[in-house]
Amino acid sequence: MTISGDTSPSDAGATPIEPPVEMPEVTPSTLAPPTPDSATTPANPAAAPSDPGAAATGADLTPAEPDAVQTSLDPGTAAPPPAALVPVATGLSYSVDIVFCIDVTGSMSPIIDAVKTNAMRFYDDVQTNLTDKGKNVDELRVRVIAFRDFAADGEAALEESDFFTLPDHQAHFSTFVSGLTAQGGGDAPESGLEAVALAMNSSWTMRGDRRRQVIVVWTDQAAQPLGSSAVPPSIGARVPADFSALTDLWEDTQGPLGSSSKRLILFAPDGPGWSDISGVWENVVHHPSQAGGGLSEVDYGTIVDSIGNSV
Amino acid sequence: MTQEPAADRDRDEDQDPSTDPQDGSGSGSQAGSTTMGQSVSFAFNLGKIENQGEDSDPILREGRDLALVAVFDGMGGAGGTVYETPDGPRTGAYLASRVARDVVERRMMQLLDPEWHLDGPRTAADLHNVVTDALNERLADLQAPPSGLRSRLLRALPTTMALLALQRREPGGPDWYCHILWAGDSRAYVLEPDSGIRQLTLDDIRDEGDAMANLRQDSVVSNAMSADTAFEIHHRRIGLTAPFLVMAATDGCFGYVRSPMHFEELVLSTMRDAADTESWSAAVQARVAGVTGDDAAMAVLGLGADHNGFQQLFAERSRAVVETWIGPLDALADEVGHSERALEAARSAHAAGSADLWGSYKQVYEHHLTQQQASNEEQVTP
Repeated sequence: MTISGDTSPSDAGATPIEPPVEMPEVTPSTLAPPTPDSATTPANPAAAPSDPGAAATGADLTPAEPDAVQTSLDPGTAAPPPAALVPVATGLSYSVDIVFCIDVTGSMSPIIDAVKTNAMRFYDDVQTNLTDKGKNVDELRVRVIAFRDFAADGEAALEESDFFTLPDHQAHFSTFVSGLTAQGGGDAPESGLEAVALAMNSSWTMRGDRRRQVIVVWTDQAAQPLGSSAVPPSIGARVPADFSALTDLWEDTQGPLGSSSKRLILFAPDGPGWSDISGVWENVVHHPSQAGGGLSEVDYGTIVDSIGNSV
Repeated sequence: MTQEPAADRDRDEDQDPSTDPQDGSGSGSQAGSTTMGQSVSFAFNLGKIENQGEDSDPILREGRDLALVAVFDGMGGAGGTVYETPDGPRTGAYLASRVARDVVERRMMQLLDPEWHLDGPRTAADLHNVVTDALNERLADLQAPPSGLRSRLLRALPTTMALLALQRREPGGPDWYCHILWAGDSRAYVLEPDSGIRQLTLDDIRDEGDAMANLRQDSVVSNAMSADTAFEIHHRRIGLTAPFLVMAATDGCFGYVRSPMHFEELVLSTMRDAADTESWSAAVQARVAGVTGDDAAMAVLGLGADHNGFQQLFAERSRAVVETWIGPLDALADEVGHSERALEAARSAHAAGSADLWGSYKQVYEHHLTQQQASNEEQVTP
């Protein structure tokens, strides 16, 4: 890891005092006259501005000496820790869980391969974003929830994996993703909200000092309202009864998701379900699109940054 | 963390430092090398990725009766959007911290006057206006295409600020007014010989919790300066009596240590063991770089003593921090580590032992099953 400072000349930490440039006039209201308790304070001639005509005050201030703003830190030249120092504690560790909710209905056929590629790339980009800044990623896991439409596909509307720990189970993850085929689904909309609910109730890791719980949705259709009688009882028991209850589950500070660690990334069109989420829920980034189509690299980088860095 | 009511936030206003039993003013006699005119200072800015650090260089200015210390942390998670600039692609976080730093420094240089008391609330409002204008102007200059993303997590040119403006109360005297102005989760601290480090800023974060809890929560920042979201600059004023140290730091400095006590230990033990201020700065940087997962900027100013004087003043506190908090905490952490390693070893031994024992048991247990299987195989063999 290289630690280096900002060497931009314009960013020098303690620049010499210079006349203010293009600044509004100092408003008298900003400066208060001496308060009663110090009204008797004698003037301090030595502290008067060196240039009596200078409009700016603060001329009493000079760069602190020694001005030791470091523009670089070469670990090789840093003073070695004296033996008397208490051992340096290691930095905090991060555990990252990512759940991919992928629409695998027939309408996704033209783009399913691109979505699979994006899923395989996404976790790697998140991990790189974390480690580039020296964060210690202690554990990275991913799982997949492929969904269709319970009304049209019944039990076949859902394919779930357990969490794969990466990189150890990379091959199993790849095999699961590769095996997904876009078919069925009937007419729009699809059972996307059920998939999100199941993702929220994942067996999130308890390891690590800090966590990221990330759900990523790719779909090209609006979402069915929750509460459909077509949902099999075994799945229905794990899904809130309606959108309000789903919102409560997302926002519940005592629920399965940490208020700071959760992120929901939606690559989904505007429409029922998805627009409701992005308009109301916290910690959501929504790219209104057909499963991420047209996503710019800038916006993609912004999304990854919103997961890897503090917000 | 919930917002402190305005009345509470300003409860230290006009507090007379001479009446504060914990203001450390009585410690000056502990060191022979303390005089009102002496000072120490250093600052640094460590970028994790070369030339892409999102903290700006700190502000560190000192005068006879005035001082200014500040840090700015461009928020990489909320401001990760990349803009094309004449200097190449830059994130909004990178640009925001620098724009804010420059405009705040210029404005504070105008406002600070040794013969006028700074009006803190009006200064906060004034800084709010000039920072807003500067960030909006910079954003307009960037002429960035509209983002295709919708999120309340994302902000245009977001940055934190933690600033200390010091004014001596009487010429040549030991008493100072310390104005603290901040937005976000960067922090201002004061260190005094008797009481050690004390946080002066209330973190603007969404989750409730104290400094210890915040280390694990990594909470979402609820208030930060930006070009597209309403924000507030908080202000409070306290009285200080030299000798004391003030410090501004971004979360890359204090956010990756094991506890707030470890951060105080980091600052004091490096001072204790350093031959001079430059060595102290280098040691702090090395310690921070060893644990942090973020860019880190920090500015330290000590008034009323030189380096040796501060070493003597804080010698007892440094010892007490290690003895009272760090030693027991690290011992508990070591115990957890040993237990986890022992548990892992026991699990491995259990797995291996289970396999061995099952192997020795299985032959007899499955006798008839294996006999039947052999018989079936014989029957199907042509």
